[in-house]
Amino acid sequence: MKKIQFNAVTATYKNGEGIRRADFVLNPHEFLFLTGPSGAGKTTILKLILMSMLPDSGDVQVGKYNSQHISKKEIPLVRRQIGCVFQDFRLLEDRNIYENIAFVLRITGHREKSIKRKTFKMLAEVGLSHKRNQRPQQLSGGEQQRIAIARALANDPFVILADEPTGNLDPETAKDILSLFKTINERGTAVLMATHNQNLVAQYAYRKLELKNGRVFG
Amino acid sequence: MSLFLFIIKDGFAGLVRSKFTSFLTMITLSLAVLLLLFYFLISQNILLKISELKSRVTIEIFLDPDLDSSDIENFNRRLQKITGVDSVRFVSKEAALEKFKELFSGDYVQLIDENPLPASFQVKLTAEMNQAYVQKIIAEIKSLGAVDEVVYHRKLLSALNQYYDSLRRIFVGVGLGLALLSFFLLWINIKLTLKIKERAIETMKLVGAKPGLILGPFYVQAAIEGATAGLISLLAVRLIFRFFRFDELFPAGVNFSTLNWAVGVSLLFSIFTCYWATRRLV
Repeated sequence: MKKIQFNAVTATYKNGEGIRRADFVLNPHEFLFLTGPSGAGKTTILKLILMSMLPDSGDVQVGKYNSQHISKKEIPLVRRQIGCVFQDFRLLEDRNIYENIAFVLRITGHREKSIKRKTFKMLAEVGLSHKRNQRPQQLSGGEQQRIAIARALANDPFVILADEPTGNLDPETAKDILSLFKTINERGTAVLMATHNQNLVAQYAYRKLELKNGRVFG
Repeated sequence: MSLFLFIIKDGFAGLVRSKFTSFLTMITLSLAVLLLLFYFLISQNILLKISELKSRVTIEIFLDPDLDSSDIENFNRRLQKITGVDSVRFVSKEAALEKFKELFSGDYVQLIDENPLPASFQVKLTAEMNQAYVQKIIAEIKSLGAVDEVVYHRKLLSALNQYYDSLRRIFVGVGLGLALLSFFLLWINIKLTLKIKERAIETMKLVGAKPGLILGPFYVQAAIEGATAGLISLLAVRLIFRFFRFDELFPAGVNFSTLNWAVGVSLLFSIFTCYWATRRLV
């Protein structure tokens, strides 16, 4: 079973910010909140998991890949087993909704038939099949986030990383999105959600890790 | 759809998606190639003209006055066998006198009672008329014997050679400068396009796209833009020559079939610029 493990990880930026000696495990099928104020190091942790940043010391284990031994060529392979959802959705604005989801399947070499089947399935799961020919900018924030979630799920990742996924949404839509993550987790996909919204976190009985000045508590 | 087909398709789709920047890139490249084509035509014409002038320079061989007609015939045969000799024209003593009278029509000409002019051969060479080459052939001619004097326009030839070499150097230098300027303009254009797509590229990386897959469509797009710009510039040259007269600027004429390289150059140029602009992107 795939999991994510931080072993005494220290990773800092030039300005001295970052995280220090972080030790934690995200177990298979687990839902984990990563909380803390802005600048506490939440995004740094997500970057380390995606290997867009490598630790100064310690190591990060993501499935079978370890940050100490990973080659540049393997980084896309690490990311393909992770689904990412961002605060600002990060959809490809020059493509329609269908193509946004199909893109992650194309890059992993799926056949056209399988791409079509999976993309329609994902669109149906987030309830936006009817908007497949529209561009992201034609959709509301909540709808864009649903598409981002559909894209994140398309490659059957073992974990979903969500960086402030409700940050740009109204409370009602945020609740819907959280509920969607809950469903995803119940189906067996681990979720690591970074958020500074304590009220939202308080509504769920999932494990929480708190980040303060680059240190992980909890 | 295979990844290769996806890259090709996405490259074409990229053209449609970024119509304005693609159009701008093609126009920039077309103008650059057009500039290079005109520059090539002008420099080629000037150099051809100088070459033509050089080819008009003849070597005159004045023969020993004691030679009889069979000696002259024998000399002619041996002269034509010399490597590098293109054509040989015999000017008899009588023909030389006629020419002299034509050039100097005065009373004193009538006073000449005996023809003092020698018979001669006018020789044109096949290859490049540079000093060393001409000197070598003159030495060979002299070795045939029966020669009184060999004359050619040494100073003119030297001046033409000097002009030719200097102009060729200047043309290559300016041509490289123009190519560099075009490269810079195109590079800025591609960088701007990439700046617009920076976020999309970052997203593609985060969802696990490999560098080849992210950059591949850019190369396809660059290839299409390059080839199209090359074709546009070729068409533009033909249209410009059809509607405007450049007889004075191109006295040697223009052979359009020698310009087809522009498409290949434009294509390679575009791909290379794309490579240079994206080499540190992913």
